[in-house]
Amino acid sequence: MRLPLPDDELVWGGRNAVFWHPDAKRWLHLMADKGWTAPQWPKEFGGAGLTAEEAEVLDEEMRRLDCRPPLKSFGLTMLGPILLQYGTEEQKRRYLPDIAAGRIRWCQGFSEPMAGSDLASVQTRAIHDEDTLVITGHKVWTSYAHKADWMYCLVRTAREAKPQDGMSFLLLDMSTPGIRVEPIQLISGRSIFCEVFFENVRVPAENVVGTPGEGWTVAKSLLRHERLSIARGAGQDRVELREVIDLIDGAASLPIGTSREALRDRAVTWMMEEHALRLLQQRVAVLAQDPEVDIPDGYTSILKYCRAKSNQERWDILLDATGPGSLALNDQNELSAIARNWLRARGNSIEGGTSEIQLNIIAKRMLGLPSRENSR
Amino acid sequence: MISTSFEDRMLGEAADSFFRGWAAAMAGQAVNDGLLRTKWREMADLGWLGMLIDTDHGGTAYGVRGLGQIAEASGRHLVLTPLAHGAGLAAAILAAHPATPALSARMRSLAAGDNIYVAAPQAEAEYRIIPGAAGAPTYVLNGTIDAPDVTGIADEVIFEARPTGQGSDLAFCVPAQSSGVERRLQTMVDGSIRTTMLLHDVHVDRDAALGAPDASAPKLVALADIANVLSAAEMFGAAAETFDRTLAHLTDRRQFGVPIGSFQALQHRAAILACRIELARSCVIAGLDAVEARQESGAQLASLAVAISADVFRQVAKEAVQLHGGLGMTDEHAIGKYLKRSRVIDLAPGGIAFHRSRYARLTLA
Repeated sequence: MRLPLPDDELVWGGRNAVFWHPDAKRWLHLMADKGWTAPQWPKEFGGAGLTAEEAEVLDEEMRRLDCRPPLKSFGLTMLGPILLQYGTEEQKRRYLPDIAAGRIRWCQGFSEPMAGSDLASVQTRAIHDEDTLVITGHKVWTSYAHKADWMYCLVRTAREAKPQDGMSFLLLDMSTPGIRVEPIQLISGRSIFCEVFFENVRVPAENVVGTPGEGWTVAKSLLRHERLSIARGAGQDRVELREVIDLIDGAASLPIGTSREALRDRAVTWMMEEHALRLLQQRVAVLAQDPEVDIPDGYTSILKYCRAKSNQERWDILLDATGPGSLALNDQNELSAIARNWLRARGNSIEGGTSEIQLNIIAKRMLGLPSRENSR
Repeated sequence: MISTSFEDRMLGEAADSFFRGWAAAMAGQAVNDGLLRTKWREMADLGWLGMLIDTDHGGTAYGVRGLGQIAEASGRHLVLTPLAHGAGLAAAILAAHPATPALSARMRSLAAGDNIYVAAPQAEAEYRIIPGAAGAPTYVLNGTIDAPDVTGIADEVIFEARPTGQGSDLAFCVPAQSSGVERRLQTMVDGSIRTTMLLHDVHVDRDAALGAPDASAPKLVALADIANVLSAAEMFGAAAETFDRTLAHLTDRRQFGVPIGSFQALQHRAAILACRIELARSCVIAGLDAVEARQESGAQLASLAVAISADVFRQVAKEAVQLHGGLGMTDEHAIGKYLKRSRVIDLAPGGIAFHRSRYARLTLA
């Protein structure tokens, strides 16, 4: 069965880029030279200036040849589109080519201990000192903060009546003095998540993207890209029904009373939901190709919600299908791959906006159901 | 809507208002044969019955996707029609055979709405050949046909039979009033009528056979996915309408001084249903596209579309009654009709369980 590509075989780029194989480095350079790491970005910013249709052809060919992605990067999937939309010419020129070539590795500083689902409660302060912003605060769940060169983050630049106001979207260099990073241990073991502490970190005020004080709009737009890429990305380590059925049929020891027939049924039911979800992903991807169509928030939330649910069910089934053996720790006291993925999948309905938040968005923005405030 | 093309959308809107009017004229009845005959002719005049028949035989050749838009609209308004197994499957099996004069006449009659044709893929029937008058062979048919919805009204029933001895399977088109045809009608919980047809030594002439016993004939089962995706489109329409009505209720109904749709517990339930509606919509679109394009994946996608749409319809209908509260339990309110329909609707294409195992078989093949 295909498991997700191991993290150490992904190419993340950055100042201290690590390539698991010399060919991975060559592959990145070959692709970046053609602008194909960011096919749809303008050529002047390191892209290839392809139309949506052309990019789809490239994508299809890469899939057909079973190519690995040359570069995995939050810069490509999330920050880049935001800079193209909200950035100044100077910011675009400064950051986009480096992102496309994999020269800067980014992390995302949104969540805080008191600002999870309620992201507008961000407390990390940015105080003006002439042309500098002085940052003090605490970010959490920052993926790869310990490996990133730069961070894009949400900081509070003013206290306003509405918590959504007075935030700015800021870019900062992680090597700036005053930043401390600590990795977080998860129930599934070592993780990519970190806590980041800021103590009087001085950042040039020109690093704000979009209008100062209106970072919420920028962040919301970015979160849409994040949800879309989470919803799409999960398709890459897909498992086929045959593999699950073979696991069920081949499992040596299942607990007494476990029915292989019932397990197979469950696998088929899950696979059908998964297949339906893949069709929905394709439909939304086609919608997203049309620059005239702004995909409704509801759709990305539906994809995010369903993807988490399907992924969790997948690992539940695989855990049942492989029996108690996959719950056992090995000689080094490590979790089995299936147990690790099963535990990790529980986070799918929490990260990038919890499933409950997605349901809120669907109910309010797509279904137009009334909120409590308006109804009084 | 289950299409993004302009033409299909226009067609879907026209069909929606057509079936809305039809449903209003039904005034709560589930079956009205006289009205069905009138409306069926109107559908023929609109060019909706001949979508799988070429223009030489009075059809429009618009295709399966177009029929899908119409099926969706019929589902929305709970109007029972022989669309999937008539204008869909019956037309397709007629069109797949070499056009003899008798066959051409049938295609014209189907497209014009003169006679109602229904094809029944779920049949267990046998034929034998005896010499008839003037040396022409006569076929003698025996067996059982588990007929899809509203077959009770059909003038002509198309089904497949296997030979008692040597020969190949043949499709027959038999007048429903033939001597020896026994029809057992069963009124179902949603008011629809389920028909079982028993054939007791039914004698038909050469023209009743769509092909020749020695030729390799087009198989009904190979075309059944046309009816399957159309049934799925109908289920999707019914599920989407049930959901829309429930959403309207959540917005309109006030308790504790606020619309009940402002309560997060109910919002989340509605949002979960919205997710499943979108999953079903994607399956139906993919199924219609694949069957239209005669792709190999058509069979798998058609079974996926049926199983998911049927399951989503059941879930949405149960939730709809709960979210309508006591109102949903009253016979007067329409939402209960959708609940009843949600349990019967998948019988025509063969049931959720059948399509789930067919999906698994096709996926693992």
